[in-house]
Amino acid sequence: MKKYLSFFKLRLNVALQYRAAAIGGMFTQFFWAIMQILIFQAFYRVVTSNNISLEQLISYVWLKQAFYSIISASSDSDIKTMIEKGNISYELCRPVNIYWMWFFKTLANKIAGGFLKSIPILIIAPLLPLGLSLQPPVGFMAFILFIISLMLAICLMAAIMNVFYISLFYTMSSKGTNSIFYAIVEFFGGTFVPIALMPSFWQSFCYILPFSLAADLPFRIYSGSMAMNSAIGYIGMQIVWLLFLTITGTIITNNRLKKVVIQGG
Amino acid sequence: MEDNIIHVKNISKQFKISKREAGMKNAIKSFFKREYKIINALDDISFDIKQGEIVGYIGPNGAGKSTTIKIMCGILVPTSGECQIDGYVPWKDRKKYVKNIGVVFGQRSQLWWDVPPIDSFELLKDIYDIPSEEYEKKLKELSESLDLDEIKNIPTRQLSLGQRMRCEIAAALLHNPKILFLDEPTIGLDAVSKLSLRKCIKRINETTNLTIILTTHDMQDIEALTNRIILIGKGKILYDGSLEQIKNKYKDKMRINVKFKYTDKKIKIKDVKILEQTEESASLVLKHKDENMADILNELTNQVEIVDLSIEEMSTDDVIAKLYKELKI
Amino acid sequence: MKVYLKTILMLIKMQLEYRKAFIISVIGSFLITFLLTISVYFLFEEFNQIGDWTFYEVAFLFGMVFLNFSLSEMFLRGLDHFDNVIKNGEFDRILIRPQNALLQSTCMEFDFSKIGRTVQCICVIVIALLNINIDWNLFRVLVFVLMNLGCFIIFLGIFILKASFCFWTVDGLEFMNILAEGGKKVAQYPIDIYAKWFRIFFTFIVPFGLVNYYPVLYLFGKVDNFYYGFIPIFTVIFLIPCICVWKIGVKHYESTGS
Repeated sequence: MKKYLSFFKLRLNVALQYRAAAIGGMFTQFFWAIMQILIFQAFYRVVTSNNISLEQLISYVWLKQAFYSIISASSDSDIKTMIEKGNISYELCRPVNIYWMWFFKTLANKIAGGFLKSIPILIIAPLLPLGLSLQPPVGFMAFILFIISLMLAICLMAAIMNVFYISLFYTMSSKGTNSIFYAIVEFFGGTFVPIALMPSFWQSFCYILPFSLAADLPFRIYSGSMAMNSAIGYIGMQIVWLLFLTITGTIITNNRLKKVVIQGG
Repeated sequence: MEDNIIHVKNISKQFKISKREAGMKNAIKSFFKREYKIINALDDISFDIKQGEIVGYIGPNGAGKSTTIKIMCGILVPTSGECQIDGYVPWKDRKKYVKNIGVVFGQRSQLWWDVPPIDSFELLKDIYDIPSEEYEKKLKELSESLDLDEIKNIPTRQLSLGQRMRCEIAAALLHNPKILFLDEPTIGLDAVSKLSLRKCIKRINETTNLTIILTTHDMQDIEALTNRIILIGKGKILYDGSLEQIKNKYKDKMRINVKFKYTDKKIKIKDVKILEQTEESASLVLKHKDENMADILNELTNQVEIVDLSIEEMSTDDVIAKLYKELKI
Repeated sequence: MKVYLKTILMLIKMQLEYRKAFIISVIGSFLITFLLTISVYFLFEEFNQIGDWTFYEVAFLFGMVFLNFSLSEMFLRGLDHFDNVIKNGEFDRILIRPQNALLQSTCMEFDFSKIGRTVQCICVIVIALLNINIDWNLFRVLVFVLMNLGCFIIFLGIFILKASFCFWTVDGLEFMNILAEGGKKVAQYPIDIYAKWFRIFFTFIVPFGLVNYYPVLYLFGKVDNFYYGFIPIFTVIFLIPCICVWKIGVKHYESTGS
């Protein structure tokens, strides 16, 4: 476990060094969130959605923005180049399981980078004037469920990213596949349009897939636009998906690596 | 002054760099407050270079070699000092000036990776506004001296490093510059490619009277191409002159290994230091550099019955390493 | 100009060498825009309208903005990825060539795979226009062309600004995405739906309002004043400060060399 932990420390250190990036990133986040809120306000001025109220939607937008880099499909360039350039054979020399090394590396990147980014929003957004501000959670229970589902969501996203890395074994080039993968994760994860605003048929379809469970569910639970018992059901789904992806992922990677060894890289 | 194509006088360049210390605490601290320090990359550099000369510009990593080259290419403006190259101040009027120079960075390619070099040449023809006739003539000339005919139609990515480097040099010379900057041209090349590349460079220099400034870590490049070196360390010029002279300076470090028939007599020669002696062999060094070698060998034959004798001269690499160490750079 | 065209031809040639990667990239760039279009459609399924604007009207703006964005990604890729040029020292190379540095930087890359997105945007625009009642005449066609030109000019300015920024630091670039990505998102909707301060910013600072709101009012026949149709011309003014920043940036590079 210690060797995985050292990834976190390293990343946090690196993230802190890039001051301009951090400040720029902060502005970007606030800008995006406010812009989306302005657009939704314009929509709600005429008609209100039955699925989610404007206040709930605003909280949703803020949280999604705060944790965006944790739950987005940005891939790790180290891992990508490692597979593309065929340096993977070096990794085999290290005493770690490669699937879990990727998993924790992705997790470390996302948490170390993303955690710092969420702080400014979580502090400032609740203080904004009404109609723009991040509301407190609807209840204690909702908050607990939010935390649980957020943790699971981060792990789930790391597992989804691993699917992408494994796919690189077969395509050997991330150019192009990268944007296809990004498009799918962002769309079904509710980043282009929140899932609550999709037609109901699409909503139920999206919640079967892991993308929305990783990138949408926690924030809906927080904002209170989802009933408690269905929230618990979906958290169960998160666990199922997480187990499914990691187990199949480990098996596929191990098989694939055996081939790499036989073919000599 | 008249025949000096390059005239550099009192050039200094200072950089501001941010300080960073290790550790999480310092990382957080420097997030909020950055400290800077000023470093002198170049400190009062002066030299002159004649038309047609080849000069080796050497020094350890970080000594200021590339800063000087960048200033001479007009990419970088010095903090103070003057520089006249072929009548231009490089960083003023850059667009006109750069037509007079060619640059090859050994570690970076100017050829487009996925197309044959000839396509890159065609494009460079437009970039430099080379008239078609001149272009054809120059290309033919370069193809001969650099042996390009067989390789210029193969995509660059499939060329070997040595082949690519020859194309790089051709690309830098297409517009018929008066000065060529070669930044580590032989880096990563195998022995055969190195030899042929040196030969090509030498040939071009002789036939076209091209002025060449060469930075390299490979002393054999220098030995093969030029006798004048400029040695820079910590931003200062430490030596400007012939390589021979430096080597002579360390002539006393010449080592004589001798094997002889069994004897227990100690060798004793004036002005020679015996490093070690066994009953059948010895190694000696000269105490002064102006000793006459013949006298010493004579004396040696008188004292022992020589079976085998070898003289180990210090290689140029050793000389330079020694020099760096002595100059503490 | 000849140099620019030649370089682009060369880069296209290079990209076609890798056919498989190229096809996948085209599909990828198509897919993203396609799903974004679906997203806009979903929103209008739920809400029917935004302000006084209908789905097709918004779809037209969306198509126009994305069309010009993908064109600028295609032709101005070198500026968009200028941080790479700085990081691997290619800018030194640019400076030792006797051509305009900005033009050369623009030619450093050319992303032909955005053709997937471009084609799709044109489809969106055509479908939208077929469903909007427009009293077409020669002048309105001119307005349509001007809108597109203006939109491209704004992206050009933004990309120059973004590239110039790299002369000082290459790690704060996310901030510059506010202008390109943010502008793209903002300009999908007529700017009268936003709060006033936001409108002012996107009219006078980054003038997306000049190419979407005012001319569109005229194009769709919401106002009769044809001066509105000429407004996109003023986007040229936006280029002036951008080019100045670029020049200052080159000066800075010459004094620090990194």
